[in-house]
Order: sequence, then C-alpha cells, then structure tokens
Amino acid sequence: MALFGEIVEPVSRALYIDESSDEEDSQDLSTTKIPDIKWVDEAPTSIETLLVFHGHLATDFLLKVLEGSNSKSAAHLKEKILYHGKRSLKELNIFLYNIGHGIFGCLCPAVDIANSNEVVEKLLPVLNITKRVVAIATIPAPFFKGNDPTLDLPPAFMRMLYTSTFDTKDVIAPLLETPNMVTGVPASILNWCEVFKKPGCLYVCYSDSDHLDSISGEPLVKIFSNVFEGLLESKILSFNSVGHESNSSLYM
Amino acid sequence: MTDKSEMSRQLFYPLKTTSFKDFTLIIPSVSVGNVGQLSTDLLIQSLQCEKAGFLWHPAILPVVGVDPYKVSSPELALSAEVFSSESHKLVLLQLRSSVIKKLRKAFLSDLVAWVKSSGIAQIAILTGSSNEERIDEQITSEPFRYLTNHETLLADTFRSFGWIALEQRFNFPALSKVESLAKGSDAVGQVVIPGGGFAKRLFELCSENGIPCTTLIKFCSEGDNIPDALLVVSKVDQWLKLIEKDSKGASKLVFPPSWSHLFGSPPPKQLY
Repeated sequence: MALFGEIVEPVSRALYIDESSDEEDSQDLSTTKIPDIKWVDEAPTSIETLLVFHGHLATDFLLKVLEGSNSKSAAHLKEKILYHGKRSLKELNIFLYNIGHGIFGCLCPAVDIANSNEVVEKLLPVLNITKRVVAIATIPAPFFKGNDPTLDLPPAFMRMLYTSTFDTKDVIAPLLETPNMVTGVPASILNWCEVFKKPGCLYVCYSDSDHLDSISGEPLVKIFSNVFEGLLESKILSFNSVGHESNSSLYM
Repeated sequence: MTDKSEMSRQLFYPLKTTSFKDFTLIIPSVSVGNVGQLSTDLLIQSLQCEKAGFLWHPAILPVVGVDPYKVSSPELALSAEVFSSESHKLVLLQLRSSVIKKLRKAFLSDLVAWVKSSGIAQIAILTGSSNEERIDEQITSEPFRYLTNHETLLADTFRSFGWIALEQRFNFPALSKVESLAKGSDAVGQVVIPGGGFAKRLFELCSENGIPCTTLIKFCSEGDNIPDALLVVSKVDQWLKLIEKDSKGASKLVFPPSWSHLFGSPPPKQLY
C-alpha cells in the first residue's frame, strides 16, 4: 500500500521501553496528571452512545460534522504541558460534544500510548453512564498487515472489532485480521468495555491519504449511513472529490 | 473502578466463578525475544486452556486484536488475559504488551496480592535473557537456567533433570568471577537477568511474600524465537508433566494460528 519510494517504518517486535530488570523502578511523580472532566452545562445522567474519534482523519471528520450540525461543546478535559524527566509532554485536550439524540462525540487527539489508560480512567464518569461505546480510529494504510501478497485493497477500507456484549446488527465491516493490533486510547477503551461488559466496538479505518476527501472519508460515511442512519444530514456527509494536492515530498 | 484499598486494587476480573486454589500460575515476563509470551501461547494452545478472565491495570499498555488461538473468531484478544486448565491445575497469564515502568512496582504488588488472595500454590515465571550478556560458564553450557526460592522442595528435582541454577554475579555488567548457587557457596553475589523484564522484581516480591516461585530463563537474542519457546515449554513439561505424548514419546504441541504471522507480510507480487 505504500507509495513507490515511500519509507515505511517496519513494525518491530522491539520493546516499547527498556525493560531491563536491573534498573530501579522509576517512581517519578512528575508524570502527567490528567485533570477531571469539566462539564459546560450540567453533567448528563445517561448517554446513549459515546463516539470516540482517534486519529487525524477521524478528528477532521468530527470537526466537519460539528461544523455542519448544531452540536455544542459539552465537556472539556485539559492538561497543560508537564515534564516527565527531561521530556516535555504536549498539551492534551480532550473535548466532548453533544451531537444530539443522546449521542456524544469525544475528540481524542494523539495521546502518548503510556497515558492511554489514564485517559480512559479519567473518562470513567462518562463511560459509566454510557449504554454503548463506539470508537473510530483512523490509521495509515501501510500499517495494515495481511497475508495476501497481491494486497489488492482499496485506497480506504474498514475493519472492526467488537466486545462480546455488542449487538452484532451493527457489524458492518470484516473483522480485523491477525496479526493486526490496535494500540492507544481506542485499544484501552475496548479493553475496558470487554472487561466491564459494556457493549462496545472499534471501527478501524485504513486510508492511503491523510487528507479527508470523498475516498478517504468513505469508511467514516459508511459508519454514519448504516449505524447512525438519519443522525446527520446527507450534505454533512458529502466531501470534495479527491484533489490533486500531493502529500508526498518525494516529487514536486 | 473498584479499588479494594489504597494499596491494592482489583486486578483480576473473572468471566465466571472459578477457584485457583493450589493451582500453578505461569507468568511470562515481557523480555528479550518475547520468549515467555511465545511459550505461554504454546501452552495455552496445546493444553486447550479456557479463558478465565482478564486483568485490568493502568500499568499494562493497551492493545487489542482478534483471538490468536482460533481462526475467524470474533472474540477479542486483550492486553492481559488469564487462561486456566482445571485438569492440569494450571493458570496462565498472557501479557500481550509491556508494563509501564513507572507503574511496574504497583502492578507487581497488585499481582502478588491477587496471587495470595486466590490461593495459588506456586508461580513459574518464564523469561528470556540477553545472549550477549552471558558469562563464560553460560556460553559453554545449555543456554537455560533456573532460579527458585523453594530450594528444599525443588532444587533437588531440578538438579536431577540436569538443570543449572542461575549463577550469581559479583559485578554487572563487567565479566566477573562466578559463583553458582548450585555449589552452595557462602559468597553472596547478585542475581541478574539482563533483558529479563520484570522477572527479577517479581521473583524478589514473591520471595518477600513467602510465595513459592521459580523463574525459568532462556538465553536468546531477538529473531526467530520459536525454538527458544519450544525449549522453555519442554522444561516446563519436564517439571510439571503437562503435555500428552504421542506413540514415539514426542510432546503433542499445537502452534497457535497467529504464529504464521510472526515475520510479517510476504512481499507484494507487484515487485516482481
């Protein structure tokens, strides 16, 4: 799926962190302290569906949806720059939006994988009052691993994972094949849903492009046309056709 | 989240009511070559273990995928899952990702608290250790060592198998004079398991809490670590007598289907 000449980082089995057992456990407490959720209005008592958007395309998609609908900001989880050892961490902003019909959208930007569980623990007050959790993760297509040597896949395609308590009528994509795994906040959310028996699913949208257009947005449109039919107007779900803007720095 | 107390949080979430009293717990340490995890995968598949529950702890990096033991099963594979085999009196914890270092101490304390409360009889930690850190004695002998805190009961058994105890080292990482635990010397060195993940810490914690614990260590490098896992499983089997044998006396081992993907995708046909 990679472009000719594109450098795709190999997926390594190397460990995420140095696991040498002879080093002392770091008890550095200057690590991220993720604050509590601040609701704009009164906190809801029940949420029908919590949609969690993760990844560049998913974020752009939610912002487009919010722009075209009457959604409003519902809550905010904000963190300033903190220092972990000598490394400064980026400001973390997690926003919750009320999309309507009991559906809330959670905009979850890139969070360090090491902080993913902490984010989910901070979202627990929201997750506990939610009847169903739907996570949408967008991942660059070169990260998809398959055994088919022809790799005859479209430029944008979708796979999914769901918990044992999830209603299978909303299964609209093939299962994510081994050995593909998802990490970060979407993985943490699905882990939590399975452990605590909350119906939940994860739509994994792979795309060749990091620009939201009619092709890369197709899987996302499919989710909203099938699972959330009628929630959004059709004009919100229409995108510009693929532009000629090049994302590659290899050629002018 | 259901915290039991400030010091210890609920770690294990069972799928159904089960008792692990007098069971042996096998834990892989996320270590060089992923030997512990590969060995655990092989045991789960070969012994047809049942999923007993999950661990939930912020220290475990989140990953999610599909069931690695059944093809086309929609069941999820989570970061930390517990499997059991009633007939073998065995519990296996499979960790599919690393433990965050800053939370490792808390995770291991909670793990030991769970082991104590569930009545598990003993722990076997499976781990790899870096090939390049071996001392001369380790290079010239079988690349496998054990470490046990249950000397009276197990050390004789292990020696009868021809296993060698992990040598204590006086200076690490410098090559140094070696004193084997098996020789019973009074000189006290230190236990080092380079690249062994949390194996040493967990072993120490179990010893402090009076839990019988044995660590099986395979020296290896990153690469095709299936042969390393096979050796570790054969050692576990030699000790615990778990795996059925065929008419020729060979162990009936079943490789998990997910192992066919260990080395990534084949090259695209368009290249040729």
